[in-house]
Amino acid sequence: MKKLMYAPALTEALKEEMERSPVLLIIGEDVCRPEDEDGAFMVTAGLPKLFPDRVINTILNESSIVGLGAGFALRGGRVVTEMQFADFVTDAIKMIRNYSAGLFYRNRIRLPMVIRLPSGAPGRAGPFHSTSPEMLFFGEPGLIILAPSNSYDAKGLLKTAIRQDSPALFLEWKKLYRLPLEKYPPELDFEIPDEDYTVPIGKARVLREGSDITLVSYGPMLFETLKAANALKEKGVSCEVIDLRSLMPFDFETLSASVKKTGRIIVAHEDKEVGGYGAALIQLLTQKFGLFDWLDAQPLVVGAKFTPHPHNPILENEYLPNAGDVVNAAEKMFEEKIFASARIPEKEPVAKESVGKLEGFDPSSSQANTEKRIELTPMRKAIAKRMTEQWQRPHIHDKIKICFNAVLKHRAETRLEFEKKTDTRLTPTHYIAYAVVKTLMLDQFRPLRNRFEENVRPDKSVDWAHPKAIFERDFVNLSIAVATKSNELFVPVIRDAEKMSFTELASAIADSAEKCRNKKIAPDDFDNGTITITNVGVFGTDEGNPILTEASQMASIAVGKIKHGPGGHFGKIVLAFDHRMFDGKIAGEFKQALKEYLENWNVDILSK
Amino acid sequence: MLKVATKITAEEIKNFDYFRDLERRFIEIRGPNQMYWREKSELEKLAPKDPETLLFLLRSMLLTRRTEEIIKGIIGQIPGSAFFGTGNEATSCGVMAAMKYEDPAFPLHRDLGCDFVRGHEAFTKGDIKVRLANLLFAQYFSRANSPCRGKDGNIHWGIPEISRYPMISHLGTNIPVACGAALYEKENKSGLVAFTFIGDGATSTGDIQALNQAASRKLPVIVVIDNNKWAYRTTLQEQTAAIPLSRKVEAFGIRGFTIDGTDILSVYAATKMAREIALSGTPVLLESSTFRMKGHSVYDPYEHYVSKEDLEKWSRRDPIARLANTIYNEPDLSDKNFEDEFKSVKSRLEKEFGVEQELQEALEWAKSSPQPEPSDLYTDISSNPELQKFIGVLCGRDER
Repeated sequence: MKKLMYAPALTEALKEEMERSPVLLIIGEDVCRPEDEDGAFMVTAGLPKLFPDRVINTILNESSIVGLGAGFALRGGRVVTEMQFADFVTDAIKMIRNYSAGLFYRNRIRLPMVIRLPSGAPGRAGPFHSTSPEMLFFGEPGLIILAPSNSYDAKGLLKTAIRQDSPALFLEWKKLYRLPLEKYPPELDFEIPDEDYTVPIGKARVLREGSDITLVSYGPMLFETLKAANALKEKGVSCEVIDLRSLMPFDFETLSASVKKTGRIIVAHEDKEVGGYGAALIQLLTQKFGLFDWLDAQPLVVGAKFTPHPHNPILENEYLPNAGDVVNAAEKMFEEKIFASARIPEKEPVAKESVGKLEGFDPSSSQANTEKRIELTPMRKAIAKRMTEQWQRPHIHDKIKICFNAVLKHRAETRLEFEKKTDTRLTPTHYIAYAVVKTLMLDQFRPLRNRFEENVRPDKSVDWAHPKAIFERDFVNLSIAVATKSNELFVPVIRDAEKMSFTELASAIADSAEKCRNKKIAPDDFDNGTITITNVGVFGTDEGNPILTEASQMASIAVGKIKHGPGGHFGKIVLAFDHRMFDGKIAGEFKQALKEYLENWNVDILSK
Repeated sequence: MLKVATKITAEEIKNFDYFRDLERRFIEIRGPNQMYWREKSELEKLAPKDPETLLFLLRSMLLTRRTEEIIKGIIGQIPGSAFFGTGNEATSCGVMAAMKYEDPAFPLHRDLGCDFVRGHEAFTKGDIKVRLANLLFAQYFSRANSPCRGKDGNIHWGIPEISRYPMISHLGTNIPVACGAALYEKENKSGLVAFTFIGDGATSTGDIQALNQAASRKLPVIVVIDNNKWAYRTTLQEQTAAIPLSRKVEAFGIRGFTIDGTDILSVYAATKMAREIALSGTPVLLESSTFRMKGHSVYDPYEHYVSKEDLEKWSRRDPIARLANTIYNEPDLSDKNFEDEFKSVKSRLEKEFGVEQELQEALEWAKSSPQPEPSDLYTDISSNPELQKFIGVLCGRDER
């Protein structure tokens, strides 16, 4: 075991691979000379002496260098081509993106070629010797992009890249080439084994485990990210730090596991914040790997400013991201939670404008405290009596959040045809009503269909505590709460709903609502209901606690407003049930069954 | 059916004006190594004499010409465009026939003849399982069993098993790649020579600079310029003042020759010579003078900008007619009524070679070949299994 700086580790990898493969060629500008100091950054130092025919200085033409490498590789050789600076690879873009990347796809030709790119800002090197080239290649299928951050990975990854058969961009960091070993943070301070080893492509390394936030980085920015993790630790934030190592393919499994744990992610790199690697990574993590729903805060990218790379050190410091930027980004993420909670003043200041603006109540009005006596309408009296009676029943509430994506998608697809056929506006309530009926008819939910034979006192009040018997019913009489324009509430019953098709049920709901609005409803239209559905969402309510509206009912459902949020459209359904008849287990199972029915909607609503 | 020149006279060839002394079969452009200067008569010794080779060359050119005519007839049935090398058959067939079967080849879109020449030997040896024409038509129909398997069409094919490598649409790109292949052959001391074709337009690309590398490293490589006087709609004179093009690379220290690209025997002999020179360590550029008798692509209305006089003039130098005349008549071109002669020659050719039958069978084979499945879009993106798997995941193809 030994320790090596970054560039000598690369040299060792090249030397060992040259010894290992007799068809391996190293080409590039100035990769030879002076003896034992070969290469602009001395990465090929000593190699021309050992392999005089296989380490070759090329002409000053990057396109030709990569083309030459490609021609050598497609004949059966292996090539490491060196760009003197990653910046100059722009001259070879055609050869890499247009020629090499798709050669296997088009013609099934293997191209074992590693293109070494001395990348990143070493400091004061100006706009043409400081680039981070990853996004020049990221969008081209067929290219591997590697970016090791330390000597161990540099050596191991370069060996892996040389041994595999497809074109690979190898980003090595000028800032790290000769970084003294004592400057490595403990997380990156690896020993290099004496025996042969490789580092797999597409595998990230978790440098530090944490629970509050995932910090993803690669290359020299990882050093800053680790500093930021230390600073955040002092503020009580536990950071998980991940070294990506491989940018394409990247290790989505490690990233997913981490984000699912922390709920927060910051991607930090020296590449630009605009149009940089982080933007692409976050798009894929949220869109392709389903991490959006796992995020508790907006994902952030910390990168260089969207300006040209400046030369002056003051300007360059302003341009490049550092540990402070990562800390700031993290604090921004926690603003409303951890950090802000410590700063909230004892008395929350109340905005003056918001005082006394409740509709219909103006405290400054001199008329505010006048009162006027009016008589209750018969309807109000009936509601008061009924509600008080029912309130005395031992009923409890249970709620569930349901995703309506499937229902809304189905509705969008079927709506026109349905409305043409039935002349009824198709609403989510119809779906819920149908799902409720179908779920209720399942055998295990028989208790929800039952009713009690209640013990009625001589004064006609009900003694809820002492029911006499249970009636089992094998039908569902569905009650739908209807509010009229004159603020009256009706709960008409649709009888034998279990026998109806979707269209019949929808028509029945529409008919009974119409009857209520036209006051053409008969008293026995309210009798012997099984369950009530109240759509409180139409009033903008997110979640309402329903009440049992009739003695014959063991359950009542309130449907809240369906809202768009992460992951699609969601609404909350609250179930009230009579605890005398059954317990929380059955109620919970019913809710779950209803949720599954709605979330996996597969009923053809137009069929009979 | 087969279109060939109607009449050609020695006088017309003599007065031909690409440049003054083209009637000589080989022209030495002042090269750095005078050792390789040869007299015309001496070079003619390199030209094929045996009837078998001559008939093979004629058959290959016929196959090439007829294939392109058939493809023109099925435009609309095939997806996309087509690109023809009518007038270029002597260059493509002649160069390929003079090279070794194992030499890495990087032909261009007007060098279909290369494929028929090498394809014939490959099929005979069993290196390819069906006739070249079958593969070619399948490629134009973009079928699953074509060399590109539907992932690319028409001219972007390659058959790496027989060292026939593809081109991409960025013209000139194959120059450095062929130099790289030559570097491989040199390192391996295989005695093989890499060769590629470019157009007159591509001599303006930066890729020509790779020849500096070829010269400084003494790589065994030959670059053939199909100088057909047009780069899409740009004339040679608009493209460059460095005419002849073989002079363009003189300063690089490589050997430039200009040859009559409509005379397959000249092309063959010159290529033999070029191969010898390239093997000795001096890369060679062969400028082959031809004329583009069709548009850039099948959709290009070339009649609107290429003069009738030019087309007429060059049709009298039809490469197929010239070789047929050499084989079946006196070797020197007289002002005999060539048309009558050729009619009998043509029917003899049809009978002897069975060109038409071979091509019609190939066409039917291609038409009934399977289409790729939509899921084939996601295969073969990378030869690296990790990357291939990952891209599958990105495309929603994984089983997670």
